[in-house]
Amino acid sequence: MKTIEHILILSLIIFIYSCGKGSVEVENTSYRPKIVIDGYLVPHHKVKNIRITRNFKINENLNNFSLIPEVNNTTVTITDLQTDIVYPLSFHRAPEQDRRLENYYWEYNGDDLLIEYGQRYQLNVTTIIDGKELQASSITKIPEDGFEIININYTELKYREQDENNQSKHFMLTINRAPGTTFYVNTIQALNPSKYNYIYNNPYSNPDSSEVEEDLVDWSYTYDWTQDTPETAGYTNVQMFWPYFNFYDDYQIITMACDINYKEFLQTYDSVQEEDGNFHEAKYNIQGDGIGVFGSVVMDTLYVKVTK
Amino acid sequence: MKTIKTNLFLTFMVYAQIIAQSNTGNISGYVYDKSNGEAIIGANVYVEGASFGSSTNQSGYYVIPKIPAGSYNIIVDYLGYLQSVSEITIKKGDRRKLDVYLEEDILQTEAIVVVADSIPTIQKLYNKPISEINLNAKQIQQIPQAVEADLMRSLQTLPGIMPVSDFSSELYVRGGTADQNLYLVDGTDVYNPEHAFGFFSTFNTDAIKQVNVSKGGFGAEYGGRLSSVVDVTNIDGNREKFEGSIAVSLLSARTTLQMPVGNFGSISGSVRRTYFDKTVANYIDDVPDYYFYDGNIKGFFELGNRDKLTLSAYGGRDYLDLNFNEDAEQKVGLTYDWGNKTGSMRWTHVFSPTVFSNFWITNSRFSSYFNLDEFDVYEDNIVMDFTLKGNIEYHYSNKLGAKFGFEQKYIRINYSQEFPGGEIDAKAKPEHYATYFQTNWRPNWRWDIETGLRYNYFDADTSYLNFSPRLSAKYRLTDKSNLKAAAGIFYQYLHRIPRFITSDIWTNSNRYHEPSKAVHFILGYQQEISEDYEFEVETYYKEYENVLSYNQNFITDLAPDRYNEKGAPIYDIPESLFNQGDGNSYGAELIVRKDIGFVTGWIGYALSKTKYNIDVINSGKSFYPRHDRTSMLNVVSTFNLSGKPKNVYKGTWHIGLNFVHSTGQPYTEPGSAYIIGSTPNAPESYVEYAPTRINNIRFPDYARMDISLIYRKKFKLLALESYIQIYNVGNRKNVWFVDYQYENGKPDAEEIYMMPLLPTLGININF
Repeated sequence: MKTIEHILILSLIIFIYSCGKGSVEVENTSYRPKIVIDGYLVPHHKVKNIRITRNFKINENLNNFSLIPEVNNTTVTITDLQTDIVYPLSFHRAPEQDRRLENYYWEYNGDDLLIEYGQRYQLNVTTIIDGKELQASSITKIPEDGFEIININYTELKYREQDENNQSKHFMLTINRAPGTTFYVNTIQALNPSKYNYIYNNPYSNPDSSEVEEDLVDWSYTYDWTQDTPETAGYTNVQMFWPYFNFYDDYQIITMACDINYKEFLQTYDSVQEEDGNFHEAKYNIQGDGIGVFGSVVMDTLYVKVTK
Repeated sequence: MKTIKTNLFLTFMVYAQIIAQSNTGNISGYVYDKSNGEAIIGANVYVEGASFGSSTNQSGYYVIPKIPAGSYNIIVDYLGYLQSVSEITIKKGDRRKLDVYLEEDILQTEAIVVVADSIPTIQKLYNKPISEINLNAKQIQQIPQAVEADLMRSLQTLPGIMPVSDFSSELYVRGGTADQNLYLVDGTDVYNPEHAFGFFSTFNTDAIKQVNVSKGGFGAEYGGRLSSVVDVTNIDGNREKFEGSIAVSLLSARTTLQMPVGNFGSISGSVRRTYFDKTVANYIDDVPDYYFYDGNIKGFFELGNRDKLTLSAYGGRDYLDLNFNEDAEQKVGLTYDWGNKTGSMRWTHVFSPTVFSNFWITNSRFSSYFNLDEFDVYEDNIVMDFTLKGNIEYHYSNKLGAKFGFEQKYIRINYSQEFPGGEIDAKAKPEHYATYFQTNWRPNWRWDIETGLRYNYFDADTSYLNFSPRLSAKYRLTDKSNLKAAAGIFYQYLHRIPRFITSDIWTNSNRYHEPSKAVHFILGYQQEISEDYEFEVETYYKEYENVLSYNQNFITDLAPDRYNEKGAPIYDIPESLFNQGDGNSYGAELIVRKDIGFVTGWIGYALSKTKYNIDVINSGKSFYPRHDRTSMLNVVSTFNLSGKPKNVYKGTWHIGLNFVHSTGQPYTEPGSAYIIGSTPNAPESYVEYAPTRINNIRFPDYARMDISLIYRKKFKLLALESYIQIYNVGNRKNVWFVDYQYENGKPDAEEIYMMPLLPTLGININF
């Protein structure tokens, strides 16, 4: 009888212990201040939209404007590695009417820096974050000349329109590759999205109109990529899948030939959480105390329409 | 009394060592279960009053060589069976064949009140190899679990064998990864022995006769994996009468049937299917259509006095059909199916009473097919092997024995994937040749020394030649305690790319990835605490070289090997799939086990540390892998509430308890967040995370208690068992991972928990 009592008491203790909840405290033990770079060079375009911000602790309230390092303590330069000439960038403040974080950036105002196809440029950033002097740099090689969109098979399609074999028709664009560039990104942007022209009876997702309205930007913009195309010039077909089109609307498709920095960033930056929930490092190709991307792209644009 | 018995036993052993062995004969034979003719693995056979003894091997065969001429009582003992005593007279040169049929102790069978056999506990501990655990079907079925009894989940309750989450039945043994375990079913390799979601493994408990698990330091007869061996032997089939069982639970149903084939063999088969798709999925939209079935069949045939033939086959398939939007007129989704098929033919031949052999032809095939039509994504994932192997045992004397074996494995790996803009076409046809020699030397009653050497030749796009020496020793320290030690070098040539939900992909060592290597050092101590209780403690140190870790960013490093006619890249050899590095594990494990009486079970505790060092991860600094758990406590127990029944037809109640507590898993805290856009023209920027230090902190401790209440009743023609099991009865919210988000500028770390309280009930009928 005593034994049974002991067993019952032990079981009760174990039971109590196996109730409750494990709670994760955010410790920030691995937090280190970092310069965040978000910038691209485009050949034959002025250097602009080089956004320099800082990282923040994962349990901090987010104040976008506190992320911009003190301009007086910050130096941003572009070095043309062909000539070793250093071009200092200046800070561009967002206009009063659109003070989004994206509109604060660094740019080069002079006319003597011409970004050329196939050339290498280095971005250098020094600043002070959390009282520490930080430095980051990254080199990009601009894709070679030659990339362009050659053709698209349809300029307008009904949503999931089918051919005579009951197969869905797709937008298919043909690009002419830039020699040496093997990674291409397509961005698909609905131009007049709203909860009224959202395609509700679609086979992929089932949001209600308030959810569409709340996340309108997410529903209206997407991207995909094509990788490891042949290094030589030539044609490559790129198919646009229907889940990219969520509205009966006009769409802008921008295709970009990308350098390796952008490729590795895009393929890793938002997949750092694994299937089992754990995290791993992304690939940034930034030396020193920096994260983010300093890349280069060549763009071409076309428009299509999706109807009911 | 027990002490006297043990002392007498050991005294006789000393005495026996000095008996001259010239005027001798042999006794050999098989030990069977009298009720069904099943060969019994691990039964003790010894000569009363002498040290000559043996235990039955995986085929139920034993040999006692060089017994001096005379008359003896041959005693055969096995836990749960009545002792058998056979009188026998040995003359010079005799080769006596003695097959023994053990009778089950009816009270044990019906009431699960296990009583001690006459072999001292310390001797049974001495008999088993270091780091080995043996379980039979009854022991597996008594551990409370989710849904139904499962081998893999049962093994996770043993010290040194850990799960990675509630949603996985994979085993992480002494710091090793799940692909470092060699799973054998009737001698055949099984590659991905799990059904979906971790509730079920591919091993149907009803079909299992015996499981031997080695957590390290295993003998030269095993190779090809770094960490452990899970060797499953299925039942041969009832050779006396038709026998069957039916089991039904909330999620699955299964049946096992056995029958004799003439008077020379038997046949057994099991079938199982889940009906999740017919029940829950019909009523809840978000639950996908998923089910699996599996079945195995085994035939066992006596081909005369010296030969036996065993044919065994297994097949199982999982099906998942998922629509993205069930409410839409046009349905779009994915289908995925996967499963194993195995087949084996084993020929057992007794060349002479002292030379026993097994030869196998086996075939194992795992395949999975993924189909996402809408995006033109298709995946075929196949790994198969065709194996010839043999194993010859030679029992020269009671002091010396030897084993020789060979293995020839033809492996085919075919992973292909089509996706928009490319193809993967990774094919390999490696061949693995191995041979080994092993001696077992018992110079006196205290010592038992086993030495072995395994030679491996692995031929893929490059070849590797490796020697794996093995050494183990047992020493009787006192009449109540043993010391054991083992060391060895182990190589692994097949590696797995782990995935969640979808099945793992296997690949092989090649010119980019050298074979993984591990060195084991193990020291163990065993103590008989009393007649009922045994205690074991083992410490180990493992060192890894070229251990592989899946490269989470492999997509950035892919390089096409060629292009198809459309100019899309084709990838042949997955050079970038793995990062390679070194590591080590060390730890200590304790277990107090009680197999006898109204309360049975064990308390296990494991203390361990595992660290990897891989150049491209964690800035080259060492880190804890995800499966590392510093401390783990398991309490597994079954209580017979009804006591010893007055008659076998009286119903009995049993309570099962399984408690586990462990240190939380290491995980990578993101470290910091930042705001960035996805593309140069992205309309908005978002918060992203920048982890820098891998697995640098740990989740809160894990704890869980499962209970079961079982009612057993025997009728004249059938036995009934009904049960209710509650998994995670305290409904503890154990953290699985954390989902970090920012909502309106405010951080939100949402904890995602593992399995909640999960009740299930079922009924098993044996007839």
